[in-house]
Amino acid sequence: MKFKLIFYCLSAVLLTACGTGKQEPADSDSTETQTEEKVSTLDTTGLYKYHGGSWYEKNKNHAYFKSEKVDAMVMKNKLYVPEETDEIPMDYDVDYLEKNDLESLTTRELIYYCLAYKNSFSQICAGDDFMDDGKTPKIPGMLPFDYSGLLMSNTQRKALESRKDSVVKVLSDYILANDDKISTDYLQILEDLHAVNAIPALISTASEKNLHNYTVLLSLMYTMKYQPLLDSPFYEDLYGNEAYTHGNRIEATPENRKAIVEMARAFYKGGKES
Amino acid sequence: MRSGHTYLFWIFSLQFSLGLVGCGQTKKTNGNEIPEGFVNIPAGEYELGEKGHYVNPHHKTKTPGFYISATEITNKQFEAFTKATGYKTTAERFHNAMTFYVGLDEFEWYNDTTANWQYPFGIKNEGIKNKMDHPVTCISFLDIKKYCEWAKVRLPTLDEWEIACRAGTEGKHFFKGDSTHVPEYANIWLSRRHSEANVHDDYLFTSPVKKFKPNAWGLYDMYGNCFEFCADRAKPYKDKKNLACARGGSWWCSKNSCNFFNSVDIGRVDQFASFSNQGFRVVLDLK
Repeated sequence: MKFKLIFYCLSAVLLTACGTGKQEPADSDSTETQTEEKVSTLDTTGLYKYHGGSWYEKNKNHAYFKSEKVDAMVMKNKLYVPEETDEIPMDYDVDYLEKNDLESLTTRELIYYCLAYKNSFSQICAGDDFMDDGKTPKIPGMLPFDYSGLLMSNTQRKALESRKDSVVKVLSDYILANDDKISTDYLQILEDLHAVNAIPALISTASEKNLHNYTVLLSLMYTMKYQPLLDSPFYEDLYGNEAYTHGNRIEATPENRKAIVEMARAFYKGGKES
Repeated sequence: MRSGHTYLFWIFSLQFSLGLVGCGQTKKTNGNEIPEGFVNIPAGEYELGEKGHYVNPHHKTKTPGFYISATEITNKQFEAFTKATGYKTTAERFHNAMTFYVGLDEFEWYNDTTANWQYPFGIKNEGIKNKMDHPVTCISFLDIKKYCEWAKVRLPTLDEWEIACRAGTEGKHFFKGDSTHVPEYANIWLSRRHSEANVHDDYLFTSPVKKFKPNAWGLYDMYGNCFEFCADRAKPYKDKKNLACARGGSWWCSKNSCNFFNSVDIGRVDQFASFSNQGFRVVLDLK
């Protein structure tokens, strides 16, 4: 077999734009907001030759922190693996960014990198096969899986965890400012980070059109073993011994939504006071 | 044997005699000679799917009939392929296999760079040496395509898999009764969570093929042991070229997480991904 690994360095200009110093990045949200594209769609030509376009195709109407700097850094490190005979292009994703590059990213850039360049795989055998009765909307106990078959790698997760406070603040601010298009991916990060400090933003933007907010509130209380949730009827329905965790849902009635919000509010308040 | 099948028949007879596909004999059923290890799926029109199912809605399909392997392809069969061709799997080349240990969260897998089909849980754990009759796992969709080219077989389509799985039945399962009977037919995860093992589970990970009850047509492990790749993609994923679809449950699949040990649900995974619960069975066309 004649597989080779060829590093493509696209241009010196891109390289110099990457920021290689170890200096802690200035995480100035105000500075970044000026350059943020509120609704960004990424030109996937070439960059996602084969492997990753689907995520953007599905989410292209959502707003993300697009970063050309991150795109350039990824391009610099992209591994291109020619396949000898296959009709399927072998453009394989790996962890694109070295530790130094990761550390040089601002929080917004890190979030963008982790979502736009998911470096690991998921196996999806649950989540979107719901039988919908077309009547009352439902609230699942866990967020639905990423459609694409890709997942953040452990390196990416750890990078987000290492800046948990900052990530939660950036995403909370974003949710508050963009409640008409809250990305499930952002909510997934908050769920993964056990982001209790995001509860006020989640409550304030929870509505019939943002039912996933209720899911994150529930899953945060479940993860933190909040006793009132464990004692509530929601628990057995969504997380109990007989529950199909990624399939069971509760009805999104006004009563249920109000009960979730009140419980989450008390949970947050209790955490602050303890 | 039907006219026109002689060529395929002799190809398979030769491969079977070499132990490449796993059999050396044929048997006659209704005038057709069926390669041993395969089950004859009769021609006809079948009702598949489930009303209101997002991925697999109720539909009808016709088939001219086909042969499908009674079991998932084993380590022994896959080894014959790699020995004959020198093929290196995706995980062996890119060290990207996703594997598992008891203690991980629900739906959590981890990338062990040493894992591959010979060491589905990494080289620090037991390899397949004493598990040659277990299904091969930690192989990607692309690896399977190569195997099929070599063995002159193909993956079942999603509909073919379901026709074979249902064995003429309707509903979510091919047996009578509710899902509590699944463990009679399938090697699945018996604990509530993946962070703990069930001490009564004889096979925490893969089991030898044919250890559990077959369906009415003699197909084993349709609901368990490993998640089986199919040839095509379900309609919602038709344009998602990086994805492959897979069906049935696996040793990892529990009633609380996944729950895909049934005749209806269809899952998906990246074509480059190699999971330690992902495998396949194959089809041989009648014509």
